[in-house]
Amino acid sequence: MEGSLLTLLVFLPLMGAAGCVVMPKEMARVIALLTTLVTFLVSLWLIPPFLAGGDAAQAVNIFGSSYGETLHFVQRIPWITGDSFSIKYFVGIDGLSMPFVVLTTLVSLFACAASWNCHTWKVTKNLKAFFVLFLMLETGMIGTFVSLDFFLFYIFWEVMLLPMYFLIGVWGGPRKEYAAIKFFLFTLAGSVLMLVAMIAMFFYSADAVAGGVPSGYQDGVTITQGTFDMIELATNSAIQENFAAATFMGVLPFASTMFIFMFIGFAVKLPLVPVHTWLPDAHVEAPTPISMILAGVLLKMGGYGFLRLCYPIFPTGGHFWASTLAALGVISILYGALCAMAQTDFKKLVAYSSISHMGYVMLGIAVMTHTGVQGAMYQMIAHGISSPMCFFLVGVIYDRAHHREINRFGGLWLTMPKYGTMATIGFFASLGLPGLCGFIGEIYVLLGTFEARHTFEWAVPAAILAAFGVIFTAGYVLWLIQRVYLGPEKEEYAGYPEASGREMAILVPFAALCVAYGVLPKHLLFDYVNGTLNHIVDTMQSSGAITALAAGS
Amino acid sequence: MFIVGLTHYLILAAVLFCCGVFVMMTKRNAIGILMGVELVLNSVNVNFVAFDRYRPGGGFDGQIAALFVIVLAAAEAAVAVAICMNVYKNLNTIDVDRGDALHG
Amino acid sequence: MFESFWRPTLTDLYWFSPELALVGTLVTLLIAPMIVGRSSRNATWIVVLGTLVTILLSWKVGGDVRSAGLSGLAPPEAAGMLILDNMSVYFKIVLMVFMLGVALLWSIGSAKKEKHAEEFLILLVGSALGMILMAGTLNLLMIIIAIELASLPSYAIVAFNKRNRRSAEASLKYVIFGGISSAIMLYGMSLLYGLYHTLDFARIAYGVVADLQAFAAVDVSSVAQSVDASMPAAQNTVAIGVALACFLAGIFFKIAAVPFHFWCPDVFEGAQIEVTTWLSVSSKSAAIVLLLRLVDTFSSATGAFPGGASLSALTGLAWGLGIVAAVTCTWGNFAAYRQNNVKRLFAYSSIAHAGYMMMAASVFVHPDSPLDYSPIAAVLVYILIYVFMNLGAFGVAAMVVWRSGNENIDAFHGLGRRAPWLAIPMLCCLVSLVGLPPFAGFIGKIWILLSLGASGGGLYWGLVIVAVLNTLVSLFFYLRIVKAMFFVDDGQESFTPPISGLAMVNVCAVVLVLMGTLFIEAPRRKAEFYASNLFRPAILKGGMSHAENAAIDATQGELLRLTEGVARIEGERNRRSDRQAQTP
Repeated sequence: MEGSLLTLLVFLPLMGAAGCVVMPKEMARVIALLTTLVTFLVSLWLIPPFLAGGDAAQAVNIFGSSYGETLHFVQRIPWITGDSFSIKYFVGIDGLSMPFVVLTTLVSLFACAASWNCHTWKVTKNLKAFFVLFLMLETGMIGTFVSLDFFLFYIFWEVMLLPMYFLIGVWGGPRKEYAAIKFFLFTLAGSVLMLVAMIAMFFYSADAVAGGVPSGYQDGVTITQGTFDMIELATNSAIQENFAAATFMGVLPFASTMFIFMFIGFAVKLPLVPVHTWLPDAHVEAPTPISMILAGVLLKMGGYGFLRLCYPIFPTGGHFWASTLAALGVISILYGALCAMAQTDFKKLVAYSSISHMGYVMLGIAVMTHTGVQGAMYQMIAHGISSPMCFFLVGVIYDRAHHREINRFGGLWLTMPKYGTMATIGFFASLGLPGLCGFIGEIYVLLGTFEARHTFEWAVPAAILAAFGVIFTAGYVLWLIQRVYLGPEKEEYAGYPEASGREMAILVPFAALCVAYGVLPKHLLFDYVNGTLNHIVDTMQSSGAITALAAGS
Repeated sequence: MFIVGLTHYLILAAVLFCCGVFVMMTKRNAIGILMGVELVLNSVNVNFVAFDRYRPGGGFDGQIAALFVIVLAAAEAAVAVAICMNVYKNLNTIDVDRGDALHG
Repeated sequence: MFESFWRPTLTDLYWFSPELALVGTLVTLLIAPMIVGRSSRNATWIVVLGTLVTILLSWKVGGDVRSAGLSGLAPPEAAGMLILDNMSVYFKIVLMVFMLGVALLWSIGSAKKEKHAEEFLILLVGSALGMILMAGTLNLLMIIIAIELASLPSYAIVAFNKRNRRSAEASLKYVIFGGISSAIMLYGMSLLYGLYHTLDFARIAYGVVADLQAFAAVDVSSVAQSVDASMPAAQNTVAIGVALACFLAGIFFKIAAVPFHFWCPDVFEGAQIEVTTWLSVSSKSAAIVLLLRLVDTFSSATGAFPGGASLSALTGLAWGLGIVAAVTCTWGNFAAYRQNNVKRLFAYSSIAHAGYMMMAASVFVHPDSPLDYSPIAAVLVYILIYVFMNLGAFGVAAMVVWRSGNENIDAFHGLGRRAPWLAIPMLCCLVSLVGLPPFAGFIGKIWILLSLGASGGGLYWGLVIVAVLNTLVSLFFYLRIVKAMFFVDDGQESFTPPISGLAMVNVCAVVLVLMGTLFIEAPRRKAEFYASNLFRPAILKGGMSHAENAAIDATQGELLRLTEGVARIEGERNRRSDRQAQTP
């Protein structure tokens, strides 16, 4: 019974989508809102098992003593069974995925509320289809975070593509088709090599366990077949040894090659410079609620993928590529911030700021320290709160002004004081002001990077450069606030109505979360996730030590 | 004394085959190309019959194959010529170069 | 000497009743107009009935043959003139289901305009018969007869619209390319016959493997010292190469593999859309099944050697097939991007898909290896899925083209609004053709990739990478249609397509979704079952008893003595049966 909760959660939105299809047109948005609300409430049931995570004595029960040992809400049903393979419908959550699931349902709820005024958009055709696709997208997102079988994960991962393509391509801005196809192509380009990695990992794990070896994380289970189980691949020592020693196509080291094959897919989603170019286009053209989903949830899948697939399964690959990845992270931070500074389009600015913020995630993971990975995790959740809020803030003003030219705005705080207050909280949270959510993640990443100075000689310069990103961020955010919200009231915008009740109902919870996550990091996130994250980091480090030892001897 | 052996038949067949391929490649007229095809089919027949005659053990299957090839060639020619007539009615030519309604 | 000939019994004929039923349908179609008058409606009903009977008989015979053992309509020592095994039963059923769809499409479409509509069905059934024979034979003579039987009616149906210039031109190109390729194929066959003195492909495969094995065994360093010793093997290798290349060229032509694909886009564009639908799946899949059977025969032949020849003797062949597959796939996808004509676009798409299937055909696995990653099972599933994808996509395209009379992509503009229940199944089919989950196309691709991955090695991992990158390329051109349907709207009026056509395409879409999500395992299991127990003639150690195998083994020392050996066993059996006849 406990196990089917996740399944219910994954397919609730799909049922809602079916409801939208059969009900009359006017009812679509009501059904969608109800569905997302119910999904969110159901997702809250996932939190209680983790509540005592801060207590050292309890932590072992909640997170287990090693990676994957304790999973919650597990459901494992044979799905496709052959004589020598078994693909399972295997869902479950641990500290890594739980926050993402709740974040997904939360952002979906708010995004759905943000699309309540859909009949006033420029494109108002077939809004029923909009909500159907929206709910299908939510199913894909939740499914991606809860699936623990690589095959299932891949299916959910790709299932997200098509709804997103249509949501951008039909209901988007002037260059929507270009943006939609660019999004589709970039994401698919990333994921096709992931498919190769999936198949290769399956066969190489089959080689490793031939004859039967005990499972890495399930007591009393013997593995005799190749597996798509993401936890098994990471924890089974026989598989790990084979991965570290094997070669691919005769010449390439298996671990580093597969690491990169999967990494590309996640880097596109994150997005990391130089595969980030789809993001500004997609954000600018997408309707507001879709931008919220895109920034709030989809980008997190990149980071989630690193922590779930790339690093635990191929820690040697992580060590091999560490400097490259950290460099890409730092470049993303600086490049994103500088680009954001140069933008005059409000939405594009927020989009580039996302790239910059996600650079911290990459850097934090690449250094492979406990603090760094915790910081990356926190940064993802914090960004998942602040960036949908920022996009919604942009959407609110766009609904009134029908343009997003930063330089044409001014004095909006005077016109709309409540909205202005919310905007300030949202953008300061994104800036990383101490006391708001953005700060914790960045500071943890920087500390974690310094911490790695004994392992990597480039850690200190990387941390220093990344710290400059904070300054640039402050630069563009403050400049933005000055240009848009401060200054004298402009004639053009004088008559604008204050944020409506619906808008405030979305903004206030977001603002409250920004503050709460700024002051209570331990109680709101670290307690729930650190147990799992530390296991993952231990996995990476211990395996790295093995490699170093092997190289030394 | 000169004895005609397998090799000579094979050379004859190879020459026929080459002639056929040459005709197929150089002729622009559809009927001409079909004649090239017939040449190749005849070289096939020579091959089959000769191999059959000179194979150890004996048997008829090569000769039977040759008979079938003759029948197939006739059937194919019937269809091909019918199609050529249809093309001539529509295009007033049966030059394969003139077919330009399609891009290939 | 005639009494030594093997004669089929009534039971043997029963095994082939599905084919006979199809022949009966053909004859009925020809006679019916004399009795009940010309009517395309009657003809359609005859075809539907005949097809259903064929499916039922295949089912029944398939069940019986599994309990009674495999059968080839030939002496047990030889490969079958006609083969009845699980794979041929499977192909019969799938092809007949597809033919039903095409007949339905024809009856709601061009049948209403054409004067001689029922003749189309005659030709359709004729070519279907040829394709079914292609999937069930291992005899060179039968192969060429089957290919011609499949081709000749195809040439004619391409030209069915007699007043259409493009149709005429397409059929001319088709018949000329087809004639050339079958002539060259025949030449290859005559060389193979000359090399191995038999039309039985199993023995030819055995001989080829023996020769390649011998060639591989020649130590390169010793060649310089004893040129004489290595010469015969080397000469044979050249002859084998030429003969096999010529032979395979004919099959590649039917598959439309690069570089034998030139006819495909032109023929697809020129022919009526129902014909295009038919050719896109049937001729390719029949040729692929034939290719699979040949490949399986080669791999089985390696197992037939007492010492056990290794598959590495066939490395060259595997690389050749693999490279042709990779190039076909890539070429098809890249060329499709530039097309505006939907039929042409689908022509290149079908070339690309044939490439995917050929990738699996380049996998040589040991005949006794487990079925989990069997390339044959993978292709059989793929063909089934491909039938639904193409029937759906072509069905929608046909209805759009009939409506607008325009075959270009702009005919699809605004289809999402004009006819949503055409646009949605079209979307499903297109995404499935790209190979994205949750549609069946993805699953079909996964099985092929798994069969490649299971073989491992540079070639097959390379093919896996080529295949997945091709997914990306194919996205470009399939999305062009999606874009036209949903993103562009130039105000063409909406319309209601024929209800039976709507039902067909929507059923296809639902099947694709179900086979991509809930029912992944069942078709795969079925396909594994149908891919199992392929008919392998005695020489490949398939269907003979231990004693008979041993007798064959004893005579297998030299190739030239092979036929004598078989004749001796045959003689012995005859004598034995004579004795048995005398004893009571």
